[in-house]
Amino acid sequence: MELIATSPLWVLARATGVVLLVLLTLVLASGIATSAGLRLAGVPRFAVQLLHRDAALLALVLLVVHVVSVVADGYVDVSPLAAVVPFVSAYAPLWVGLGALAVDVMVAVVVTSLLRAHLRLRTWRAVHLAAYACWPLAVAHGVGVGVGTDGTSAWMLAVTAACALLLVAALAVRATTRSARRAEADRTAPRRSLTPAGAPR
Amino acid sequence: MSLLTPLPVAGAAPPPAAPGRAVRPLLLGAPAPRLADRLGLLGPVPAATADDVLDLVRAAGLRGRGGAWRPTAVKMDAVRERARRTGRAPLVAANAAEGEPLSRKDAALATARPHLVLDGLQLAARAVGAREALVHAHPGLGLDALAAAASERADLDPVPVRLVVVERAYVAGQESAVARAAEGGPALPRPRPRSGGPVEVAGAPALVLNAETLARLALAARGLPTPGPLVSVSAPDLEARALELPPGARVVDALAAAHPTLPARTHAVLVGGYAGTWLPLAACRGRALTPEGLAPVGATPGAGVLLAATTGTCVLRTTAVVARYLADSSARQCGPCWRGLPHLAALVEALAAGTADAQGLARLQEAVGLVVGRGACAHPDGAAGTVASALAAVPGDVAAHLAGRCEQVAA
Amino acid sequence: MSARPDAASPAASLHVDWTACDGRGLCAELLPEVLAADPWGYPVAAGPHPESGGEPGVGGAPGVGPAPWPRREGVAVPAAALPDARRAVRMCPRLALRLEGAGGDRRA
Repeated sequence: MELIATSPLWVLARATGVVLLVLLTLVLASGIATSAGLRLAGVPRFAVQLLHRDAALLALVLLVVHVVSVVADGYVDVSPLAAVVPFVSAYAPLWVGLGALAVDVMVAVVVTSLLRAHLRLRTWRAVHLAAYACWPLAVAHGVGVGVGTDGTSAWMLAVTAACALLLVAALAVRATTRSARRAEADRTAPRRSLTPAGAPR
Repeated sequence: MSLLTPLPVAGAAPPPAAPGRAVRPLLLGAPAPRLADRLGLLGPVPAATADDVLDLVRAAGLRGRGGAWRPTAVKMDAVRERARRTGRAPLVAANAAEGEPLSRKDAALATARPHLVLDGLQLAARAVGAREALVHAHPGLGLDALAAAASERADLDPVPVRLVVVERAYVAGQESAVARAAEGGPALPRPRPRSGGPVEVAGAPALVLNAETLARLALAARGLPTPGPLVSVSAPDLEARALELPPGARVVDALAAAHPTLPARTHAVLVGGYAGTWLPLAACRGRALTPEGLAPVGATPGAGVLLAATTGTCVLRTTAVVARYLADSSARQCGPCWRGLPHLAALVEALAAGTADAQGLARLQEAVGLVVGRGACAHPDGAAGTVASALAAVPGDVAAHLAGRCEQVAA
Repeated sequence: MSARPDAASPAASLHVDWTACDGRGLCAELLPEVLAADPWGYPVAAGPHPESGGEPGVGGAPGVGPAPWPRREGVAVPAAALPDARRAVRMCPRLALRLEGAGGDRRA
């Protein structure tokens, strides 16, 4: 175990896994902030959106590294197919399968976003909403597969909890801005029924 | 030739009675010719090719009577061009949906002369090569007459006619709202197609023409003289009514036709409806009810709607009611409209109530500028135009309101 | 960016789909030379109202408020602002912006 754990590929696989969780959290939090129309003091909105985009692209690169290192490393038997097709892995089919599912979702979200200008907003949005599934999938994958890796170690659980807290906070802020918007919409809603008026007196 | 006089219909049920006083045709004109067939048509529509109809439309100088006064030939050309380029068969639509609260003329026309409208619709279909024709109308406002007429002649019309029932709403008569309703969607405006071309129904170019425009086309096709303008006139003590005026009629003639004492009691007129232009009566004098006649004073007849502010009626208070109605009528699709119009209405209400100061007036003027042009349709522009013209029409009363008084209504 | 002689002349026009726009305000941040944000975050033409006033019967009092929004022709984008305009179009969260006349009408 000690010997195998020092295999550079295995170290790389686990390290990228941790960084991916943090990056995914950042991507999701900045995405929620954007969709809430949230304005952080002194930070322009476009900067938040650039963070969202760049963190997502970086995450995709790291995801490739993560997958390739797991597949290339011989310690566990994960075939290239099992890395993208859920639940066919010989090793930990459920937990690796959740990871494969997260890979698929993320690739779909990034590809549709790169093609966003050519898609209908509704199509892009529908796919983009799936990004919310990516985070719990990735967390479950990390914790579940973590037996034998660091996924269940105290420090890793602490990182996971911190990420979850950040997301809960972002979602809470968005819920309040949503209700504020709805309140404004109600305030400006027609005050009376719209039966055509006669000559106003 | 009169547009509003009901035609005697031989062998068919008489058209439904006009609702109350709303329809009282003034111009009796030449009695309608003895009808040749059971449909009560003015004789059959002369056979014509597409180009014949277009030449006719050009020669007659036909223009849209829904309010925009766009040359009908230009619209027809645009639809033909789009149809040629896309290979899609175009549609035509008769628009008798008048959302304007003070407009009565399309309902009156559809009730009195449904066959003229349907004749025009068939001619328009011929002009652009349409295979389907639509009729848009509000329940109880010309819809029944149009439906009855359309079913009477169903086996004679070369292009099948489909009725689209539109619930009455201010923006429902807008051209793209008509197209959307034709697709089975809500009767709400949508952004113009990117190309800037004609509106589309499920991808097919659509020629949407006002009912009065079509009736005029049907008369022109028979070589009959051009009728004068159709108007809807109202005043605080006068319910909106549709009138047919002699050709060349002026604004003041329309007021007098509605009631003989109206011109003497009127101090300002809202010309063109809720989304119109307030003019002091002095500015209306001698002005013909045509786009050209009213252009020098910055107004347009729109759909031929006039609202007279009589003695004791405050233009600003009336404008506040109108602005609130237009704000409430927003389709709430475009932010600057659904947020800007209530903001604008509140500022007008404050001025009308005498609670606004000079700063409030400046904010009001700024709010007007904020809504102009910023929407999928011209709804916000209409509201802005009415408010801005009210400020310009009664500058003395604006000053009085800033001081907490009103020139028309004693406190 | 060095100013070219024609940098100030309109090179393209920017159009807004107001039914899609949600007033997020990114475009005004990314394209300050052309757009500003109104009190709700929706884009308005940057710069003051031209003194000449609007068209007859439409628009506010001359010189008050923002420049009128040219619905049909779109807001003029000078050549110098084209890269920023393309970025604003690309980054609009609601895909509500469209650039016309800048070497192909594709959403750049």
